[in-house]
Amino acid sequence: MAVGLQAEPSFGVPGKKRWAMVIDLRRCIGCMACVCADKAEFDVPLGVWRTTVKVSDTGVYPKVKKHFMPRLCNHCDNPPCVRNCPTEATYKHEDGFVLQRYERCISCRTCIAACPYNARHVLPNNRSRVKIGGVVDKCTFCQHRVEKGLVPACVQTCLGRARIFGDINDTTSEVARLVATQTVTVLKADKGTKPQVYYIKPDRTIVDQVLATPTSAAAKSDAEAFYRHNNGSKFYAGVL
Amino acid sequence: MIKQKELMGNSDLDDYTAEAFPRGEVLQVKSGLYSLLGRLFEEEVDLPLLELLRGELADSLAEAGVILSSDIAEGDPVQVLSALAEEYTGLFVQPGCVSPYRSVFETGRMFQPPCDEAAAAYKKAGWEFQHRLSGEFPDHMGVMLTFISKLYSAEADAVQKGDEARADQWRDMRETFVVDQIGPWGLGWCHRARILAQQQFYASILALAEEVLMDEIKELASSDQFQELVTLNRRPPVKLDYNADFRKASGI
Amino acid sequence: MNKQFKVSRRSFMKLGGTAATVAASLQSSRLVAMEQDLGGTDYSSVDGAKLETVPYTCLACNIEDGGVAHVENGRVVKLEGNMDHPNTRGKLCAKGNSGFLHIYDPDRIMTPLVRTGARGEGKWKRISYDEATAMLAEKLRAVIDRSRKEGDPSILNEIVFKYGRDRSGGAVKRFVSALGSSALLNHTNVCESSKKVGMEPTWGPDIESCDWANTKYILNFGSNILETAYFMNPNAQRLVDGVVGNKAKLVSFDVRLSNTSGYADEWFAPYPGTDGVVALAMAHVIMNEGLYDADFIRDWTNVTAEGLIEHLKPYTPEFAEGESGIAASDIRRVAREFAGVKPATVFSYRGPCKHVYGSYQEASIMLLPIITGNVEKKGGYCLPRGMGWDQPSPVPPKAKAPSAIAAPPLYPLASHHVSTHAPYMVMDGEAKVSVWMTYYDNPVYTYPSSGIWADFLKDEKLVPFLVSFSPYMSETTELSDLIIPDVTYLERHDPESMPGGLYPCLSIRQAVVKPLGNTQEFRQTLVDVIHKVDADGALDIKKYFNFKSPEDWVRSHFDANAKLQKDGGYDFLKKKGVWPIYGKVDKETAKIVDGNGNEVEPEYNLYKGKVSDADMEGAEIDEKGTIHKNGKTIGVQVNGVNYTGFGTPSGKIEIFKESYKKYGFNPMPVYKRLASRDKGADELVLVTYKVNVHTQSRTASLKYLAELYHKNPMWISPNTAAKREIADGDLVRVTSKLGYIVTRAHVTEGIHPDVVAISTACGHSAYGRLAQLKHKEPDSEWALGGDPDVTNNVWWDDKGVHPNPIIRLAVDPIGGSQGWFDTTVTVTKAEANDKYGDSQYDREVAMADYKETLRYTYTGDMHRKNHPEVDIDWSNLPLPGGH
Repeated sequence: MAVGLQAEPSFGVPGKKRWAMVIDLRRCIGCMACVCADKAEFDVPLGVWRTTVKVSDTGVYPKVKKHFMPRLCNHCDNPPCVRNCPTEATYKHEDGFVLQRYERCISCRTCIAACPYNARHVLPNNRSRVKIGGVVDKCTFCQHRVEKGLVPACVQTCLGRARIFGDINDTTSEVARLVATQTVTVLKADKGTKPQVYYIKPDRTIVDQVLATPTSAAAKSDAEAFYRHNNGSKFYAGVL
Repeated sequence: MIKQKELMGNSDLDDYTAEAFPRGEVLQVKSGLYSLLGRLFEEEVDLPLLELLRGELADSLAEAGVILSSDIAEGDPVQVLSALAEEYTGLFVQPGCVSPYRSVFETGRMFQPPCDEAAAAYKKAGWEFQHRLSGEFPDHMGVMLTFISKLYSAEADAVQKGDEARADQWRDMRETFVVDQIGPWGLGWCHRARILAQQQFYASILALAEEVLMDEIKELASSDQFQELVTLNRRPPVKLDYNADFRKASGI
Repeated sequence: MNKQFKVSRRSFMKLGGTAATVAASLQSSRLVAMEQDLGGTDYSSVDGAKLETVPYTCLACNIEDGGVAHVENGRVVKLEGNMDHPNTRGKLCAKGNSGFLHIYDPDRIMTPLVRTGARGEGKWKRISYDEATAMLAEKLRAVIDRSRKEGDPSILNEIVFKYGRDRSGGAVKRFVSALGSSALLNHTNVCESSKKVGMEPTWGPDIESCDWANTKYILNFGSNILETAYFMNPNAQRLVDGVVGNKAKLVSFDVRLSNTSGYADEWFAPYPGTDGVVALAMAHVIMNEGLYDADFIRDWTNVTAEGLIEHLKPYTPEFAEGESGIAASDIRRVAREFAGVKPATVFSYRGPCKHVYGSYQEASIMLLPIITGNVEKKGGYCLPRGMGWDQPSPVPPKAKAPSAIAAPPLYPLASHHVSTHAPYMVMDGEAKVSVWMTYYDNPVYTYPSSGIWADFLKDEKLVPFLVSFSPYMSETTELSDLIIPDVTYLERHDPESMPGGLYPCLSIRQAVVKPLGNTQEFRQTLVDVIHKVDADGALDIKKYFNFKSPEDWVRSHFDANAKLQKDGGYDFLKKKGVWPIYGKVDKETAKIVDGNGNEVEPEYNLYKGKVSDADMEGAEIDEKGTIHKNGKTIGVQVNGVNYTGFGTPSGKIEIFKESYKKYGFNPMPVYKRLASRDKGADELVLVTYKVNVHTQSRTASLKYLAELYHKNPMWISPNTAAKREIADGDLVRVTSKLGYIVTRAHVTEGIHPDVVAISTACGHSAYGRLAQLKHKEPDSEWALGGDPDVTNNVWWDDKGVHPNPIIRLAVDPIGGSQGWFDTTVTVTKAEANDKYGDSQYDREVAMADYKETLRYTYTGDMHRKNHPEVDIDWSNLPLPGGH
């Protein structure tokens, strides 16, 4: 067993659940319903995102395309954030969720540095409804809904049904079948994190571009405003 | 959490609660003061109130720093009331105003948990919030001040009847209310509304309310607590809450 | 025995091992994975408690998606799609998900306000609903009394009611009719009215309902299906199902790379206003190459294939290429592909129809699904399917005198009227206003030449009394004399039915929480006003408003629906939000399935319903097959069968529109070259667009949406920008004849080189503090009333620049639509003293534009000049107002 409270990798282990998400990029239309559903579900403050959708254009007029790339925590089977958390604040649930215990978090940001996906953020101290801030937060795969038999909020509202959620260890589940039958990719497989968010039709996206800096002046000025506002203390994960 | 103090015989009581007054009378005075402030914030000035402000109350108001400008003191009542109503609406009612609700102050939204807390406190003390116009909620500053007035008055009655135990109950209720429900925002609210007030009248009423509340809270809170409340009123980042209930927010 | 056992055991193991490797293809059909539920309930993310769930119908925009509100301690904490809604299938868009923020917004108007300062000065006095309704009633009664005294019913038309989004199920019309006025103005001509006027005379209804999920080929003309078009949510869901699940090809025509065009298999950017000629050229190819459905044209249209071929002769692909810039070879190829694949469908929305002569464009586009026989087929181009409800009796009679501003006489074919003209007509003395009521409408922000609306509504001589029912301080509401605030859409009651998909259904809006802080539903305000107008009973109009409560009123719409009553009536709707329930949403396919998991298929071929023998009794069949009864068309006989047919005079699809010809318009779909096609060499065509996360004007103050989209730089193509020495992000001045705005350039490959595009979502001068970023202003430390999130975390500092002040009025003389995309502009680097957000407009030019656009109406000189081919007696056109 790894450091801290990391559950053993459970991908493919019989008798274990391993929640996973498949994102079918052929079906994502960049409607941003997931972003808003998630913000509402968790009272996510402005300036941080548990999930977001990156938009990019490629090509030269008149052959131009748009690409939408939903992003969230990969709930890695071998999560580096968990290994690197000095206080055991972040841990891996045995069903595969990578979660955060606020009361143990000292906001040292080690996990943020360790996460290759920029999926973690420090909560601002000011929120509308939920009074917790100053600690690291992240997508939970809506564990509070999933444990009661519901899909995550972003999956629930996804207009294109681009987000599919389920137990990948159950070979009859839709996620398992999609992963078995479609060409899928995961982000930064070379990091050994065993991410559990699978993307269908990766040719529609440019995986490396996902974390690229903004290129248009409009996006740059948004990012600049963001960094100005946060004194450069946060990573801009907004829509570009 | 409330530092209890005897009202009577304490050396740092305010000017207007001089030692010479018996407990009951001090309480009645305070009740009167809060009822006036409460009334002024709860709704617009009407003709009877204007007459009081111009007449019976004028001198004592002036002593407390509330001076009626000549147009309010002498102008045509209809015009004066209309001007005051316009200011009232601009300051406390219309979009863009300094919302007089604790919910808005603390959460940015109307009708949030502070509303329920205020309503519960009124109910516990035997009163019920009843709206007159639309858009009114129990966590209104004016209603809260009126509530304090009622509690003072009830305490005074108990004292008058010699029921010290009952009087102490009323006092505890008031002190808890002031510290818990006005402490975190009352001073900041008065301060900000005063800055935005355009008429001297509302500015001075707000200044008076701020002073009165400041004294009241200083009286009740320890110095650490007072500092904490002052900070809260400035609305810096809300204190990090380690309440175990919030663990659920991350799905643990 | 033992040995044998071992052997067999080994083989078992082997078999098992092999089986495990192919497990995925050996699925049991009985024991399936315990899939997670798709929705319907929610739990608090804070303490895990189950939330109370109340269904409603969304009104964030106008699609009317089915929703459920999750309520905790009497407060809405989360919205979600209603899983029982057959068309929206449990999904909400970004706006729908954020709608609950409206309710508790401290910038909401919570009490009636009466103006104390000058108009627009922002000085108010609060009053009660009782006082406010009495004040309005008094003003209304004064007009009514004057009309009665002078015996002139036309005076009643000085009571003007203008709405933008009326989802009251008939309440507004009832109110205005009860007052005796016909001055009921909608907003439809800034919306899609010319599309409607292209479609209605052709086949009856005003919109198509595509069977996206089952189609194989989709032609999209200028619509942004995946972001904003009518029925965006249900259409987007099924378009994706069609493209991914059914391998349909999507070909999209748009001057700008919308998300829809960016998602399409092929994107073509025609010159603005030339979609119609591309469609005509495709029809030309299809007809000339024999790719058409000969039976359908013969049996179900009022033209012949030969006649069509003759009519389409001029519209060669080469001609279309010259007009649109789309290569003739592409036009041919796409036409052949489209006609060669069945089923196929076509969609258009607020692109092609938003030009002068937009009605022709729509009619041209409609040709394609018709001549290929895709109408009402599975996977094809279907009629909309809605359900109605009854109006509770008694219903007030229609007003006696027609109102010129409600139905401008120079636009006889514009069945959805020409609301843009109202201020000009009043200024010109063609109509008089005593009381102007505005409801869900914000013309000062959303109309072309928007400055004229501000001027008009500020003028107390022209508009003596202005009342708004808005719960938000919009650019229009802030000019009012009296505000009687409505509630948000989550606190009100309405009957609903939207043809958002192929399953017809009824739904309701209900108060998922009580109107906040004892605010009052608009419906109740109407009841109160009427009862006060007629306090003495002399007008005998109270009887039209005898409802115990808003809910009682809405309930009464459904009393006579026997089928619904059998299922539980209004209470069923209260519980489920929608009726009927067709089935469940399949977890994997999202199709609506029955208890056995089989798809519940929608009905197709609606026009092929049979006229019953009872209905045929006493009916007459004319030589064209049309079945008449009691002066009405009840069907059409085709090949000896009596079908219900289409909602046209002949019962068939009328490609030839007699009604157009009567006024000198071409009865056939044609292309008319627009002035913008001949723009100057240095000019560009300015277009506007909506984005997926905002409505036209109501959502800029919702923080989740504002965070996603808060500024609207002008899209411009790289070469076009380079020619003007404009770099990405530069400050630019965009100048039309009307005035100029100063904004920033967004240089992108995704736009036609002759076009610049500015979204209409941003650039508010009202609508709450967040929409205007007021809290960023230096002296506004206190600005947002303390939402810690908004006060501290709003990181953006750009609220955008609104384009409407420089968009010129130009109206389609047929359908009456505003030509939003006909304004030409010059774009230059900003001048030395220009500041971001500067805006200027010239009222004289606006007035001249109005006069100019009247020249295109059927009595105008430009009309005849543009229609030399129409063979009528030009000296004997019907008189205005005679329609």
